[in-house]
Amino acid sequence: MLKKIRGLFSSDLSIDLGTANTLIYVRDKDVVLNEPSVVAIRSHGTQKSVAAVGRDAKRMLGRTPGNITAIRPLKDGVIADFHVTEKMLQHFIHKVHEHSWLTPSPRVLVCVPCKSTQVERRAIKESAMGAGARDVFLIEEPMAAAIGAGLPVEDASGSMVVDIGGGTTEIAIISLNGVVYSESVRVGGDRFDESIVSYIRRNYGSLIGESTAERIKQEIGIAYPSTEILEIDVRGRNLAEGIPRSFTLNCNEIMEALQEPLSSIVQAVKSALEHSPPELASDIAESGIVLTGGGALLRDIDRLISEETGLPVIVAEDPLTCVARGGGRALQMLDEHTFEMLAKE
Amino acid sequence: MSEQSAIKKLDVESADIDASFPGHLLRNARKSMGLSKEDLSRQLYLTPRILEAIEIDDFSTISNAIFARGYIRNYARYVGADSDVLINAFDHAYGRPDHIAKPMVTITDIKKQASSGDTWVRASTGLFLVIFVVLTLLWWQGQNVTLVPAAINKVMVNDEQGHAVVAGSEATTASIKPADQTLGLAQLDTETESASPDSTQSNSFIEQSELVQISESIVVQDNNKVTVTDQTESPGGIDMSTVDAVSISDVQVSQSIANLADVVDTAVVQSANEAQLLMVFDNDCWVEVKNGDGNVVVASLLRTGQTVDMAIVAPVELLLGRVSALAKITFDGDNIDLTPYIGKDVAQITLGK
Repeated sequence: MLKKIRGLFSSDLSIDLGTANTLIYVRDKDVVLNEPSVVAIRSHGTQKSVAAVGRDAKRMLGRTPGNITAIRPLKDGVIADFHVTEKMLQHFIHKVHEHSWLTPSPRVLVCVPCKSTQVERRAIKESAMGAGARDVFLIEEPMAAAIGAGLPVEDASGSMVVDIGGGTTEIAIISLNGVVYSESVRVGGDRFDESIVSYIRRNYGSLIGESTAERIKQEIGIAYPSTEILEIDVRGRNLAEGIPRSFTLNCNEIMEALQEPLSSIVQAVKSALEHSPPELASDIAESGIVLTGGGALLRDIDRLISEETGLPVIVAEDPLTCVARGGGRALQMLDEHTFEMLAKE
Repeated sequence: MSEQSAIKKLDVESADIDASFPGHLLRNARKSMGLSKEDLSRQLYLTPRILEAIEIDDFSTISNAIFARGYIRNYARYVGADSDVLINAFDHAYGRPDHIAKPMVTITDIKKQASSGDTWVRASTGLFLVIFVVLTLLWWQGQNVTLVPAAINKVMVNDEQGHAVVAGSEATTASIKPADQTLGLAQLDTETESASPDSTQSNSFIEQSELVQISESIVVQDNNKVTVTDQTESPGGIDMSTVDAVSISDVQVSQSIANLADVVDTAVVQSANEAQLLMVFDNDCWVEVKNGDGNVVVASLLRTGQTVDMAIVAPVELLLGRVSALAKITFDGDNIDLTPYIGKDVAQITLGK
């Protein structure tokens, strides 16, 4: 009852609970929050408290003293630490409603990986409820991504979407508001970072942190050979000498470093195409594949997939927020439309 | 070299883009690179039909604007053109799909919701409280006002000389109990409206005669004026001769104080929608009278010789315990025929429908 009253003062939210970033779309507004899914926990003996959440906590990653632990509560698109996820969601929901003088109790639509198990989905739902949501709906990430990208999901024609997130890559063939075939590989932006870290350790004998690896990926990361050579200066701890050293990396090296995770994604895309019904495969061959998610921002990744599959590949507008926006549109349709787009728990 | 010039040309011409999509710029750029449509089709994995559609600005063959935008981007990137300019031109010509992200609004841009610290919230809360307090006071006052007529009951008595004597009582209806029969006018707060030297005398006389004797038999409610005349009985030892001496001619009784005047021959002021009910009893009878407002005006056992004479709001519902005890009944001056009730004990009569 109280939740319902508080709900009157809360906006409906669509949450893209990603491994790397959490995005919140507020109904009738737009994406209003894009924060890293990181929580810093401070320990006082046996007691623990939240020291920072989001961007502040991410700055602490790898730089924390003994009593503070900066953790990422989601791994491979699913909850790794239930309580910390709940705290993080609570913080974000409050942040979105920070001007409200009542404790918010919104209706929440959360995106889940299409291959997540029942237990994982239950955990996401419970944590959203624990964070104060009055109703929780789940939607599969590729479906939300397709809606957010503006694909004609309700048409009787096949659309293929590849959502390259932080922890997982979701591939789905969608037709008539439903997922015909979906594939999920636990390869995403995080794996790209790890590959860069291990490449530098192997080739330069230096250790760099995850944040540095992410910066390298964003600035000079490339997925397909290019004539344009980009370079970046990086500082890392030399393993042999034990002291920080500076060195220069170019984009071709990063492309080499990313080969393994990229080929996993390409393989998954090919596998999805193999499993698609012939009529839908024909539609996809005509219109092409749409890339969404933060991974789609990797330079020339569309070119790589296009060359590997022989199909036109386009990157969605603002791929980072596609899932959250798609969830938001699904939320708007919730009151007037069927619930067929929603994922079953 | 030719590629560079094509890009340059494209950038220059992009400034004066009109309402149509400048597909010809892309075609020129492609031709300057020495690429045929088929060559580009193999590079971009787009069918020549789609490339043709982009170049001649006929997007009817491309089902979805999202794909069209994506193809234009890929095409422009391949020929080295500024894709953003071309996309803007496309949006200008065909409209921007509504679901495409607007620039991300930050939390601070969200319209501020009300908070308890806001001036207007405090002001409206204060206003609400003031209104509530005022309404409560008004209600409380209203409650008091309704008590006033009951608190000060006045008996107007005209003495021999025709001077009006007003006796007021501070007792309320509830406080006048049947046992309180000795309530004399000494307890009444006497006031004289038209000052008369005889008023005190009149009061003292009424006190002496112990007029308040038969209140047990009368229950008066609401604003009905009830006069009960007891001609035969004077339980308190009423000396009728002394009553005559004073010859109190007019007693106006309001509400519960009616029992003060029940031994006096009275005339009752009658309002427009009221009718006069007269009942004379020659035997003991239970009487219940309900007025038109649904209020029970009389509910008592009337003794032999007692008379009920009252102005009452019509229609009147009468419940008589023994019809045969009724010697006479008139309503608004008309005699009521009791023949249908002969042989019956209890009668329920509705008068003045």
